[in-house]
Amino acid sequence: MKKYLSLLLLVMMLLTLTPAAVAESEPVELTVWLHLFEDWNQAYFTQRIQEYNALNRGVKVNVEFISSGAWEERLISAQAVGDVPDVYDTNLNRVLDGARLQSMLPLNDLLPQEAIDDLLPGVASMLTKDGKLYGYPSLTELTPVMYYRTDLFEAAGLETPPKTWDELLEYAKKLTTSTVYGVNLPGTGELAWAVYPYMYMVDQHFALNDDWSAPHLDGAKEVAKLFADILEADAAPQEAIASLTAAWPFTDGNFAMYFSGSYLLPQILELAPDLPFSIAPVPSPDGTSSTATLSGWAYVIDAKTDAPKEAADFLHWMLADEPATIGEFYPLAKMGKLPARKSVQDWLKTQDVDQAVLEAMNSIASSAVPEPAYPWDISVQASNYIQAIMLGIDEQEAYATYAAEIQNLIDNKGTAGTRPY
Amino acid sequence: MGLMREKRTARRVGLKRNDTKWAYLMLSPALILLLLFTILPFVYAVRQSFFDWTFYLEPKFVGLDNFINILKTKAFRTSIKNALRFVVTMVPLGMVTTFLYGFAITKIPKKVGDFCKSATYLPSVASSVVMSTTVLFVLNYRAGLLNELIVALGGHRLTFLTKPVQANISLILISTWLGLGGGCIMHFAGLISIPPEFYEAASMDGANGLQKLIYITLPQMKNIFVLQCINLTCGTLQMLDMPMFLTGGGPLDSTLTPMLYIYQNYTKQDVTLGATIAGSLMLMVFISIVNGFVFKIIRSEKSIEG
Repeated sequence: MKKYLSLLLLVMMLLTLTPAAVAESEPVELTVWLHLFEDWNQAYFTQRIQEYNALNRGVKVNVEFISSGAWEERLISAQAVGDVPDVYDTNLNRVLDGARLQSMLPLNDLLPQEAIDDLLPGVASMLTKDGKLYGYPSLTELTPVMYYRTDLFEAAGLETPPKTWDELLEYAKKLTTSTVYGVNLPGTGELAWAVYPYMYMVDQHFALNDDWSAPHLDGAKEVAKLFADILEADAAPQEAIASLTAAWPFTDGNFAMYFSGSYLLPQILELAPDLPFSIAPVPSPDGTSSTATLSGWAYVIDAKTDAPKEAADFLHWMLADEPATIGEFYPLAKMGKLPARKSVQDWLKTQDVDQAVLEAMNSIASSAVPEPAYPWDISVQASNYIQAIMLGIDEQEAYATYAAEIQNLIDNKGTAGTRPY
Repeated sequence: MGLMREKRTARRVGLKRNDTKWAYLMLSPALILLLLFTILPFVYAVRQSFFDWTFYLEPKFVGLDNFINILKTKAFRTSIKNALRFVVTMVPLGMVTTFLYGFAITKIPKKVGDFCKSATYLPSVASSVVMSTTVLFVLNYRAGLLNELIVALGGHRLTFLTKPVQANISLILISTWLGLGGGCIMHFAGLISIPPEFYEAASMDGANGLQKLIYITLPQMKNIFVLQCINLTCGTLQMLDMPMFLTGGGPLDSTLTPMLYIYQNYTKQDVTLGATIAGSLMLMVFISIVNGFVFKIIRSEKSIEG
């Protein structure tokens, strides 16, 4: 009897151990693609993924960091041959395209409801179609934020940052010297997205009307006038000297006021830790409607993945579970990148972070609006309209040309009536 | 007629029936690759251009809608106009400058000529991406070498890439400079292969330098010009990298080329692929028509015989 009991015990032990042994020896492998950003950014996510793999949850994540320049080609090529990454990160305003083209999985059945409820409403709206969430945000960013040199302001006798567009022009002129420009303007290649908040500040529209059935370029016209006035006053370089994502033009002392995203903050602090500068909301036409656009990044699960549950497990652990897991990222970003979850916001308040910067960013974020989700070509044509006016083309002629083209795009792409938020 | 010529050629080089089999056998790898990577994808692309599709959605037959939509798109039409403008400026400019440069090299001491050839050819060895980046450093508004020079000479900084006329001129000049090395070597090789007896005989007949150029050099170089014209026309119509890196197709789409337009559409996630493929096919037809036109106006007898 004792012999049989021992045998039974052994069999039971084996039965208990076998799944664990199998899970340990053959974890499900996930391919994760992430955009390549700063070194510290890559190091953070690499470390987190190593920690996840070390937990032996039956999933092994293989991460690859890909530069933005190569990203689209890599992704399209992978989709073409069906060898897609299981999880990848994408811009917040691209997620609904993925939902429409059914290239991303809805997450509602894969993530606990409390993780979805934890998202900030503005961010959740950018990721939700027909009540389904298609991506889980890792961070949000604000564009633009005004960085300004306090020493140069003081030298010019200016006490506070400009609040209106008239003041902006006036300040830019005052601050311009033979070696320093008063302000920067976005380059032609970045104009299409960089002008979103400026257009919105004029009359709470981007380039389309409320139901996206027709162009609405009133805001664009005012932005073009502002930019043209700044250029005419030689208060900004006639041609952008670097991308808006580069901090060196500001840290090298070329500008007194520099408009760029919140993401520039860690770069500025790294390149010039002693630079006397401060942060302020971007001026608005009348000084009361300052707006930044909310952008950022989300992880999505590809619709062709063989392992949706495992992908969701990784995504949940990394972004949606313990606040500290993703929360420790934001202090590294010097609060230039912000959380997308209420619980992480609360957690950050208890941490040793620069509360003044956090408060300034939260103040800008409080009036931020999501970037528009209409087709990119429409943004490009709106920016062409702005450029045309800046280049001296008659406004009515420019309007006739670019409004007609935007209408054509609306008709071709069936944009009317598809506004998601 | 063609068959007769083929038989005559076979007889002349002494080919046997068995040799023809070997010839086909040796050709077969190239033919198979051509079938796999050109003909089948082309047939597939033609089929897909009639569908609205992505890699995820079920394809939906839309007839000629993709072709109509892309023709209605201003940016695509602008890109075709730009390509034609680049052909009529870059091709003659490229041919004339490379010929003159090659001609000048034949007239200077060999060692100096060799140095000039190497120095000019150097940019052709580097990739156009590297060269574009280098050019951006030179043309930068704030810290570019050219603007620094202009300021040092007392002038005002210039914008080279953000105004339509300046951007077009910059692109044309940079592309011509990049093509100078290869074109000049081609012309140099053609020029030194002209028998010197031709020039000696012309001198004895009292011909001057200009007459020698018009009646000997240019006719003898005809096939080089034809080859270069076709190469430059094809290359210009398919130009992608230079405008992509230097101007992104702007400002106001003034440097947008058809290839760049298609590339930008292909990598967009918000559009279906049928329209992009329709655009590619139309571009192929467009390039074929332009090249056919070039062949027709050149009509090189030698090249037909060759």
